[in-house]
Amino acid sequence: METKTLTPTQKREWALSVARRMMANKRRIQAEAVAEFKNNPARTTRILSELARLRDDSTK
Amino acid sequence: MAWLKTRKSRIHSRSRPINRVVYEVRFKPSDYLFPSIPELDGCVFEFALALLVLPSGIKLTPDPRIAPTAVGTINQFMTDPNRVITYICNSSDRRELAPKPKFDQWFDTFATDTFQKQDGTLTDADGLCFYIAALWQRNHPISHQIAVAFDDFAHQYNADKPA
Repeated sequence: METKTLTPTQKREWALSVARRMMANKRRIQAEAVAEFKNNPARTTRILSELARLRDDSTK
Repeated sequence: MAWLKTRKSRIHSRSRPINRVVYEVRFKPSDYLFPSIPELDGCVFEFALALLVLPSGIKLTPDPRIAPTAVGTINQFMTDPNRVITYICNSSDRRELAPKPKFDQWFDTFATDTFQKQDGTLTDADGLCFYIAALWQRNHPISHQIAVAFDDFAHQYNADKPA
């Protein structure tokens, strides 16, 4: 692996850069999920209907 | 509930309501964590839990049903024995969206010995702490290689850290 030729400091920076990239990806995935949910009226309606049904069931 | 698979991005997702709050579990293809293992191309996915619906008047608190639901979803996704999932959070994450200790707790409580999980913790110069985990089946054809690669990643970071 190419990182084996790096100095310890460079290795640490590489590991942190990977972690930051993963973190940014996670935020992006979460934002995409919310955006796709909001932009899909059929799915939004279906899930909100399911929620309403669950709420009704819980109050019976 | 069937998996929703986005054709373009190959993202797998599944949403579930828990106590009127709707969460979505997503697995997004991600190969950059294991560049030294070409056999894993197309098999590595980043796991993320997204909050889709929070009805007004509901206070978001850790719900005991989140763990078995999320672990059940992961178990189903991991029925493909070649898959590896990675998870990350940092110390600024919202607690209810499953930070690393919670993720560990899920697996300590619900996971079977089917899986191998490995962890790493990185802290940057500003004190921000990243918790990273990788999960794969113990009988994965290259389980040892994955363990070594992930370990290498974590230990490279800690190699010259003062004790």
